[in-house]
Amino acid sequence: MKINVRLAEPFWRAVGLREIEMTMNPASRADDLLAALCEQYPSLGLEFDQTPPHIFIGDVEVTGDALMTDGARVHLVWPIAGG
Amino acid sequence: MNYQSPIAIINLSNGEIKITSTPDELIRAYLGGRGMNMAYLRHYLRAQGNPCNIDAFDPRNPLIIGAGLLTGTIAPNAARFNVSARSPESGILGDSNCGGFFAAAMRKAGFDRLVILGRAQKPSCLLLEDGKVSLLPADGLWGMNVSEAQEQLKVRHGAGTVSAVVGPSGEKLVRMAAIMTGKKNTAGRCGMGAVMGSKNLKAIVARGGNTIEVAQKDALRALRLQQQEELKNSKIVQVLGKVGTPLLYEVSNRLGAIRTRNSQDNFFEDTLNAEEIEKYSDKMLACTSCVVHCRHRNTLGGEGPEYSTIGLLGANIGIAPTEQVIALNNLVNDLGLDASSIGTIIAWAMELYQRGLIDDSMTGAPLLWGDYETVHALIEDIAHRRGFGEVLAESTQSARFFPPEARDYLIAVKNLPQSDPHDVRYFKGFALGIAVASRGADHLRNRPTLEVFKLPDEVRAKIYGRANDPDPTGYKDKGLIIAWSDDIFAVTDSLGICKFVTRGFNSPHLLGYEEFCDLIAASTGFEYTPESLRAVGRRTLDTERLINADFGLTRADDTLPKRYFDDPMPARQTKGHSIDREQFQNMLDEYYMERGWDRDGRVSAERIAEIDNLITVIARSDSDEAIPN
Repeated sequence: MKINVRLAEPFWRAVGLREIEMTMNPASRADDLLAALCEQYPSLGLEFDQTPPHIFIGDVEVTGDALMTDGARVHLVWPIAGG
Repeated sequence: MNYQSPIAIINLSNGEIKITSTPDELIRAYLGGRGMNMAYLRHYLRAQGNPCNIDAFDPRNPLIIGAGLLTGTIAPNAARFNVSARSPESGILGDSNCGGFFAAAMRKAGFDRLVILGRAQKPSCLLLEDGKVSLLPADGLWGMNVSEAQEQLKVRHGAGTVSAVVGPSGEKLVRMAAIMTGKKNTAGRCGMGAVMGSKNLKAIVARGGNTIEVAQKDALRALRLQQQEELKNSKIVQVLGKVGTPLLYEVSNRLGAIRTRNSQDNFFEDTLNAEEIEKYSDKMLACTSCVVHCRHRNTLGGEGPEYSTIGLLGANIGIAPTEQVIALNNLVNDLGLDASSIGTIIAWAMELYQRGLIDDSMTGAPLLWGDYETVHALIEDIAHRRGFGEVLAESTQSARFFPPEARDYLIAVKNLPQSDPHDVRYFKGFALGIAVASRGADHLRNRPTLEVFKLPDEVRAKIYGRANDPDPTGYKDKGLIIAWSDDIFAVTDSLGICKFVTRGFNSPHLLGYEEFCDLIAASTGFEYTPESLRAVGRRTLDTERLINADFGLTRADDTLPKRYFDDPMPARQTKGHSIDREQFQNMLDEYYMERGWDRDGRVSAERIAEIDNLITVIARSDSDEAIPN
């Protein structure tokens, strides 16, 4: 299945891409997606090691065990909320 | 080293200038910056009778400008100072914290603190140099915008001088006027620029040629190098240095927590993401001794914008084009206005217009979301008190011109518009924080940013002192977390250090009490423990509570905008969240308990006596022989 990944600030800078389309097995979970991204983009893996992202599927924040569906739009967001 | 902290007490009405030294016991109790300002503010407001009788524009209202204890030294990010007075915007404690280069120059000109009283007979400037203060005419400066005035002052007094100035808004007593140092470094909150303008004071110019003596030069240098290295390895420091605070916009927006159209909505356009702002940035700038470099220089001739300005002059008033938001940022800075207040007040007026509570007969023209041209003109009119701008120049106090229900749509606490663009209905600790912040709705007093980090329980317990509920959207244990944040931020403000390198603000690492103790010892020779340093924070909070109690504030004032209680957030992850009134009162109970206040939020009689006994040394030092000016 196809998953559209949008990398929020500053994750995208590690790969120079705002959006990435990933092909995943059916019934993949969010953690599987992160693992696949880390494998494909080691520089992004380093970022995630330092700062695990908050994961949104659509508008909803989920945990790593959340199931994804074909065509899902996943946002990976830095955990911060300062001012 | 015998640590000296010189202070100038300047009476603009009669030209008397007294230079004296801050009593040691007061430095130990309050450090400097915000804490020390609060001690002096309580003293000077009470020394003249009932503080309630001293209007913000009364010449007796003291304008106190105080550098942090470490400001101007080589301690990391030690650039900051506080400006304090009774606020013309909120009517209560006014206090504003600012970075840049002015405070270091002030200390190098020989002064840690200025207490400015009275009112000059004509527009004036103060020149600080080599331990002396001169009162000079502001000939030709009155009426100038910020950048023009600063350039002119450099021509008059030398390229190496640094000035703190008011723009036309300060001169016209606009209640949200700021004091500006540089193009963007702003003592913005609480209308301190209007207090300065009411004193007929256009500028304070510092020519800092002296050295700031420190107790252990080599030890301080070693600490600087070690801490700088650690800070530079921090991810948040690296990202802020590259992207700046605009980083935060996308994060809040994705969550559905960006104040949009006066908090009727909670998400907005991607045109205000950091990468869009970055297209207009040609350099990242820093303040004195900074290791972060978070401030953009923009290609439209100004500096910034920060996240707060992006949110409040963008999403909150419905303006999406990046270039327009940057242009408004530059405009409010050059006019000397607080971007947080003006973005909130214009959005409020727009909603009143949308609802038909005000109309063209008052506004003079349609006031519509996203109308850049109208907003641009309105900001100019506010700064110069023209037309409808005359009404909005009163900030939250303009409610008296509107129907009573207008207050239901005002996003303010204690009559201070909310400072930041984060809609606090989702993270309940954020909500409690702005409800109890001593200067009104403001995130920089206690924002518990670690709430979003999902830290392990044991780490949270270690930071906050006991086990606590990790759910940021719940109500439990938020009093504990806000009280902890209150204290460390008060200490940071009193040292003159930036929150971007402070533990608890954007990171569980960075500089905390232990590191601050080392820096203080090396700089001043004063010994603190983490516990005694936190006690300074507690004392500062208590002193602020007492100042506000003098102005009649009670538990009922520790509250939130009506919308945050009554209107659920409309979309995205935060959808459906609002603040439950009963649960909010429970959070307040817990917070007061953590602070050691009674159920009504009052400081104990013993504590009042202790603080006032400390502050009596100010009266004694006032009667000491002055150092010749």
